[in-house]
Amino acid sequence: MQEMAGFNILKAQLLQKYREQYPGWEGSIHDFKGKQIANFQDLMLNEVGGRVSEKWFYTHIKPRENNKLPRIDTLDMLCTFLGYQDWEDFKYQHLPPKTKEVEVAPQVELVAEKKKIPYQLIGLLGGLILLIAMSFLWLNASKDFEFCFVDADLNTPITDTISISILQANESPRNLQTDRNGCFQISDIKGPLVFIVKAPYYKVDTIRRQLKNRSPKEIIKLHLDDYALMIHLFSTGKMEDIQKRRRQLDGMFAAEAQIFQVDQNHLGMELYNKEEFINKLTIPINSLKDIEVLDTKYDSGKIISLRFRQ
Amino acid sequence: MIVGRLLVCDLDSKKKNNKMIKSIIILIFLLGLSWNSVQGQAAEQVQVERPDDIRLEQNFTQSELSVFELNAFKERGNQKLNDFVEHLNLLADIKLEQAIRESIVQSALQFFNNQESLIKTIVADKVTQSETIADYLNRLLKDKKNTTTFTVEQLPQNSSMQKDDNGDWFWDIQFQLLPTKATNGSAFFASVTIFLIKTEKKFGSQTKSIWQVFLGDITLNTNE
Repeated sequence: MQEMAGFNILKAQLLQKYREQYPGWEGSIHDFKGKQIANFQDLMLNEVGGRVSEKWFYTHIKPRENNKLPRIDTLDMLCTFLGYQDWEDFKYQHLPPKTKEVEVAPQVELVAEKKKIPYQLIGLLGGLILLIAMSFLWLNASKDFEFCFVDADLNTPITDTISISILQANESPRNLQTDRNGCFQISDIKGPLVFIVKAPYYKVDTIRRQLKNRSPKEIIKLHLDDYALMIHLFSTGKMEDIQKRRRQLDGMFAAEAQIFQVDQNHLGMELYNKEEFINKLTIPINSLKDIEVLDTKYDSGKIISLRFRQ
Repeated sequence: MIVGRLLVCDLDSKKKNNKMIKSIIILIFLLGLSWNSVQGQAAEQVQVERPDDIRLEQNFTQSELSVFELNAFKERGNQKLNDFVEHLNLLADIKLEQAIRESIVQSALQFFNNQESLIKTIVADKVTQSETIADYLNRLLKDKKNTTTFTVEQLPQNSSMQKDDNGDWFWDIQFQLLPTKATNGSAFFASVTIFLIKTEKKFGSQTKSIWQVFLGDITLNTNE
């Protein structure tokens, strides 16, 4: 309490010192605003080469009643500004002899204030480290994996039910199905994951994955089985569906697309334009089953060149 | 002086804090940018350079063809014959919607460079029927009953590739048309002339002169 009384005396002397330079100021030190604070900072800078921040001023000087003292080094600087040796000298000249309580309080405050900013930094860094560690642990510790299937050409989810057969050593296959988003989840897999994917009108595929250190979600592309699809469309006998498929293919190929059919030695056998190749893909003849796409090149998201053999 | 130094230290630590926070924000921003960049590249899949395609395109545009290149086109001739017969088999199914059957006819005509190519039926050494491929396909299109479907069985070939005065190539394929088990009909010993012709083809706004295999006249022989 004595210390607080000393601080109030200090404030009064600071006001007096200010008025020596700025006699026009008739308010109290508690009424200081931006301009007065800036003037005060300039005065301090000129006399002791240091300054207190505006925030500090609002925290410690503006309140008429203070709950705690500023840091001791700031008090020392203010006292030096007023012509005293330091805060101890100021107290010695204005307060009764110090007590144990008075001795302890500033040290606690000093320690607390000195650690204030490092705590913020440590808190921030700690938070970041914790976040990274949690993410890392979550990625590694999680045993849930999700696989989603998309059309390799259209890049759209396959929403028809897809049958998944999980193959594990010494176990009969476990059969799963995808949900309406074209995804399935799996957990508690020991060792490598192997599964067979069967989707209507898509080529059957066997997927092998090592799950260790793997992202918990993966998108897998399935390739359309044009023959199966066209057989289906022809068997249902709706020209409308066939036209829809043609429009879909039309959107996938660039107008100037070149489609090369090559033989086993990669020599050219036929060079199709877009219309011819769409025609080939939409008539269900046996050779459609044998098409093996070797290379596809895109320009602006559309197929500009495709090489295949059959 | 000590007080001044402490104050400077205090201010320095504040500056360091600010710098560190700024660094973290910049780091996160850069990570985000690089991630977007990778994603963008994956999504665009732009590959403009196509040297393989240029080389392969020369297969089709060059004036002279090597033996290996001719053999590749010869194999394509065999494939086209099979594909054409499969078109006929599809057309034999009268349950298909008429619009679908019309699209099959249009597709089948694409195998021929000349729609006036003839399809002749010879019974006991006499030509019993001769019609253009267009007429033949249109007749099948109008059929109200299912017709015979066939499989192609190639026979030993005794025809070599020949070059005509225009620099185009032609040859014959001998084959057998065997009725499938599901349908009744006669088997045919048949032959088809295959052409390898330089033809103009459009690729968007560009027109290129390229080698292409076409079917020509077809002869069907039967004793029944």
